[in-house]
Amino acid sequence: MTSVLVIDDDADLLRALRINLSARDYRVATAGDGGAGLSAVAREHPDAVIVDLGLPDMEGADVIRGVRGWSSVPIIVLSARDQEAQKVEALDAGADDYVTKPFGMDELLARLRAATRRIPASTGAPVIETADFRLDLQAKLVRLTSGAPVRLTPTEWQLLETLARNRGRLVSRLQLLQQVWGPEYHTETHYLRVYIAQLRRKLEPDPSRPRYLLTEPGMGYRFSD
Amino acid sequence: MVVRSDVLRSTLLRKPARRTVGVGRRRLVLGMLLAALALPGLTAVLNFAHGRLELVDELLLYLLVVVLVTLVGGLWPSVLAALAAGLLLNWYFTPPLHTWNVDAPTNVLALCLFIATAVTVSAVVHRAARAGALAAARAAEADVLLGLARTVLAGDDSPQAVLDHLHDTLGLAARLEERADDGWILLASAGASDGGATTVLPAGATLRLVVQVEPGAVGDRVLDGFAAQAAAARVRHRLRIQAEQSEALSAANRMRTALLAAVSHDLRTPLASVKASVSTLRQHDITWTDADRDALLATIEDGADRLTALIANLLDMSRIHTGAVEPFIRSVALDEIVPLAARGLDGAAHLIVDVPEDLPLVCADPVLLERVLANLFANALRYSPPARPPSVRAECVDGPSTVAISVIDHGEGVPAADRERIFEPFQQLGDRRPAGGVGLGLAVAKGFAEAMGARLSVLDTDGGGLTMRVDVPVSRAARHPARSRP
Repeated sequence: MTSVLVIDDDADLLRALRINLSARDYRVATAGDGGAGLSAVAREHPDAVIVDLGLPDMEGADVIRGVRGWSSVPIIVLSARDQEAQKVEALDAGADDYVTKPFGMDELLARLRAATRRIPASTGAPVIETADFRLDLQAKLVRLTSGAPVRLTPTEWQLLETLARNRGRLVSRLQLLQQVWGPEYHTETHYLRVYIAQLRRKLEPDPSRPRYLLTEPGMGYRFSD
Repeated sequence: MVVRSDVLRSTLLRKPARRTVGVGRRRLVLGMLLAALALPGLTAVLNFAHGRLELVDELLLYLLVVVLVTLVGGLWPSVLAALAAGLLLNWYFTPPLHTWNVDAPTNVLALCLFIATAVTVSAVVHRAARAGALAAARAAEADVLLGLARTVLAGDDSPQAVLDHLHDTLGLAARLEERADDGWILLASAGASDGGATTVLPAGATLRLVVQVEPGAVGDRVLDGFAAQAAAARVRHRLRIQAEQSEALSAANRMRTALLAAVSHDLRTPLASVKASVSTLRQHDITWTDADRDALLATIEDGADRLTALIANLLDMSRIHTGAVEPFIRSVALDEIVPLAARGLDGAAHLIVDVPEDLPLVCADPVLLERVLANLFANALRYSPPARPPSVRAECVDGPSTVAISVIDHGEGVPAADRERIFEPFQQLGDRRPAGGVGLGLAVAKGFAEAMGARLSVLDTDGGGLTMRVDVPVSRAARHPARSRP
């Protein structure tokens, strides 16, 4: 049973989340402020943490840093703050994903599933089937459903593979740059824009309205299937 | 620098006619007098001692007199003295005596050399003296300009300070004017004008400095310096005003941004629980129990209530800010308003009410008073510890022209320094504040209370906590017993 800790000061929201997550066989623990949240993480060892940024006793970013000091549990931020700088601060503090209030429950559940899914080992790598293409991560092959093979450059492939292996998860710009181009790359986000645009042209049925390769403004990219 | 102002004034302020000549007229006359007395005198003495001195000694004595005349009277008296000395030497001391003839060629050469040397020496002496005087004048100008620069750099760099400095050091009245569509507008002035001659100096593109002095009477550099500093001070003055304005604007902007963030957070938070509950109910892959469904529906209703309250406060606040509150004041019975105000509040049942029925009627708008009290009750309930619920008490004060309604809580209270600030909207900016604390309630309460002529004040509760007191005037029209009761 997957356990989730929700840290939020809004009792109504805690109640709604508890009902929904419990019904989906998550074990749910809740905390009303940052201090209680931090001790609950230490006590319960949850499989995922959902945290609000504006807590009565401390900043959510400090809670994230406190958890990250000793644990790599997936952390999803759930906040009414929607400014890019605030999202980046939370991600820099160590959050894995960011959902803006108000949110649909389906969206939160999808993010939670992605965050708690174990990353598959590279051996026996999966095949990802979508309505428009078939991605074989082991054979390094992409075919459109029509059967036509898609030619990708090595960089395009690495980018696609990184996103696909983190299917459903937010992959930050920094993470992508360093995994695909190398550890000395930090700020060359325009590389990402160019290569993501090329991938969209090759894979997306409508590149101007992407379905699979999603941009998370200010944060990074997400492969959605 | 003002200590030396008299010296400066005498050095800098010269009559225009004298400025072009190196030496004053008085010294010119003195030089002439000296030449007219010393040359005949020397001639008489040498004539008396004739035969005991060589011609070369006599030449040197005359040269000494010519140099003295130069030092006193400048160039022209010395040239005249040199020529006169040459003639005197010729007449009295070169053989043949008492004729204009000179028989020895060496004596002719000596006389010519004497005149040339005398003129050259006096020219050199004269130039040195003039350079010294000029240097003194320049030093005085530099002192004045340095003093001005010090005044300006010390931070006193308004145009007025520059003109005051001009008046203090040079004793001249001056005014700074700016070009307008039709003529000149006075910006600053120092000293009283006596209607005499003025010097006008351009100061930048649109300014001019008018100084009460004849043109040319003061070194150009000094007045130009004052004009330039006055213009620069004017520019800096403007820049300072603009900087202050833009600082105020950006402070207002920061405030507005913070308000917007707070409002957007407070609107989104209840919306988040409403949407989470609704989207949960719409998921058909799970069958919700009746208890779950009820709890989710309760959450939705609660969120809607919070949004309603927030929007009501936002609208009230904008009515207060735009002056759109028009109270309808009439005689109101407090014991009827208080229960209405408490209705629907979380934990209203815990509120201890002590409002006697025999209080006089008060002058108030019942709707506004209800909103004032409801917000005060909500605030007190929110900050009260569960064991010590808040209370509301009404009593006559000021024998009895006023009814004071006190809303008393036993929470943590507010430090005296922050008392006034709690009435500002969104005092708890950002989203870190107690759940449900919207930050508008007290601002609305204060705005409405003042709109209907009541007074809202903050006091300490005995034993800790906050007491909000509303003073409402007693109605003159009706005393309580006149009211009919079922």
